Amino acid sequence: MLRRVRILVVEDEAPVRHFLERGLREQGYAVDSTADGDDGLRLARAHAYDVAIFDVMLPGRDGLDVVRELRAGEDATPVILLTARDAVEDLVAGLDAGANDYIAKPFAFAELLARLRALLRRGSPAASVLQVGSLRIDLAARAVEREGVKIELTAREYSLLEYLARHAGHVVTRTMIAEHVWDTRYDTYSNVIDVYIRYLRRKIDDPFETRLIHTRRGVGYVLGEGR
Amino acid sequence: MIRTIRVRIGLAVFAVTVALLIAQGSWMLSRFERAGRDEVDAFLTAELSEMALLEGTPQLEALIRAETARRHRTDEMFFEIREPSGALILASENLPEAGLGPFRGEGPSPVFWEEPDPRSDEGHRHIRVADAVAEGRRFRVAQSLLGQQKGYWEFREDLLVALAIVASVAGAMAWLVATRALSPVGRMIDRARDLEHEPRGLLPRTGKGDELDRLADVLNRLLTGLREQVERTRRLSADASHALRTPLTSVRGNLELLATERPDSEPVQEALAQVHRLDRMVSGLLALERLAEHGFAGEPAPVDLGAVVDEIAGDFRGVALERGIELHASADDVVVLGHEGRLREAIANLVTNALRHTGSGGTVRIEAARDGGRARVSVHDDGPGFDPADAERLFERFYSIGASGTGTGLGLAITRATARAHGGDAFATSDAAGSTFTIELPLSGPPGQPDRVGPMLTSRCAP
Repeated sequence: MLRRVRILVVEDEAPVRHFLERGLREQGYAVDSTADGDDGLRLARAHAYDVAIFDVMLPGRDGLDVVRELRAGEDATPVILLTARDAVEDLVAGLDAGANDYIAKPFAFAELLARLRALLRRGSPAASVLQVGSLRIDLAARAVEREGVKIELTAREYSLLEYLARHAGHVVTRTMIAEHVWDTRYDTYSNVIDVYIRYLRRKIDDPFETRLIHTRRGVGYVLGEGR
Repeated sequence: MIRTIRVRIGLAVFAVTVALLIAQGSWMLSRFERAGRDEVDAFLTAELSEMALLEGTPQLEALIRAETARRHRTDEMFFEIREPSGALILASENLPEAGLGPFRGEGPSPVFWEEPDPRSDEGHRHIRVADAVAEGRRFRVAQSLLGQQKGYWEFREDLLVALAIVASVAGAMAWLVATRALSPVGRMIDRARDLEHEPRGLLPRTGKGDELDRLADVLNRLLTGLREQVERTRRLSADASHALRTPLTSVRGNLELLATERPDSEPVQEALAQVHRLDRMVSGLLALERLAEHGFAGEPAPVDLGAVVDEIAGDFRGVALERGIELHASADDVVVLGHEGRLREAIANLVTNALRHTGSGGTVRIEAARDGGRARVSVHDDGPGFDPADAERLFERFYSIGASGTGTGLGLAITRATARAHGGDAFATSDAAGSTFTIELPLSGPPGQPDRVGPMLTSRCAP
């Protein structure tokens, strides 16, 4: 990385702000933070952040106002809104104000990271092939091979593998899998997800020397080389 | 029917009227009888005096003959005059052979009594007898009471007819008045029944300021108070769920960071698992709250429940297989309007529930079918079933929460709330063959007109 990615965190709840700072720094991001909306707006205008994370409920100026002000000043900094309310109206209000994404509390940190990466990737050309170690996924043909051996997957198995591969090297939670692969809440599908991870392992890991699907206990799964 | 107030009032007024009329009738009848008796006695006394006056003259015999001859059976008269020794001096021709019994009068003032007519078998014909002693002779005059009794019977019959008419009319009037007076109560009952589905409706007032108005006012105040109470409780639970989210975010985030650093720490893993569970409970409660308040999110679109059921069966086949349970699905073309993701979740909750309560070697069957004008998705298992008395409680929040410490106890509640948000409902039945959980939803189009749904589906699937 030539330049460290800079992220602005504006969150008045100190415990949440602290863990965001700490977690993001551990991921190698440079983090500035403040608890106040006006302060956040000033910082966002003064520096070129790669992504800004705003809580919706802020003292001074709330998150939606800050985003509106930024956009009114032609500032295109990608913004993720945090909120304790996930009603559809709030989501619509947030996106209308000019936010790029929206995440409801309490969220898995892995999910916030995934959304951050998605925003940071923006503008880079979409890949047509995903390569993870010796695993090759042809997105157009929905074909999978490892070490030159073609692997047959069912539609669901493929969707799950593709989702893991798009986040290769990063933790994906079971909730994220439930929501993105099955479009459902995690609770109902937890057993189904376990079973499908086992299916995938049987097909893409068991016949080969090294394992690609790793379990991060208590957090989720990672697709990638090494532990 | 007999228990309704207006019938009871009608019957009560009828009964009271009957009792009053019987009392009054009895009094009138006894007065009537006594007046008749007094009249006869006065007449007999006069006859006795005349007999005593004419005793020994030929006019007496003429008088007796004339009186006997001009009367009929109903007021027939008898005359008898004897020596104190009992020897007959004079008697009317119609006097029965056996006479009218021994003389009772001992002095000049007459003694009266009644004697059954010896010529009558019927027994209820009586003769009024008057005896007196004058100038050493015994005088007796008697008259049949048949005419009197006939009058009495007719009067009694008239009274009974009047009683029946008056009591019936009084009862009917009472019923009518009660019906009129109670008609606002009927409207109140109908209205109260509707109120179950009207979150803001109130009971009607008559506007007359009477007891029913006061009842309506009191009940309306009670209703409003209860609604406010329920609303406060509901808001409290929603606010609590919201308020919990920020601290949960911090606890969860920090624990996840900790778990990354120390993946093998059991306490951290255990705490994390429970925080995740707490998180799912809070999200589930908020989802329930939203479903109850706003219905499902977004515009309703046609959802092919048959396809959804096939998909769910595919997803869960592996889970069932690993537990030694057979999973069958049979799905007709059933299209409803709604949110596909929410409906998939509602049905999958039932499948998860069925798999949890079925042992190895059991069978779970998922069916999607039309039933009349409704779409019906049912999940049947051949597990031990449940007590039918619990059928409703199964759908309550946290009722089915297991001691295992992994579930949220909200699955079935979410299923029901989802079904209701789609204009349907969810219910459960249990018998010896296992339990069946069913979701019933309105079909998207009128039955028998699937064409109306077809084009919508294609347009939705088009890019």
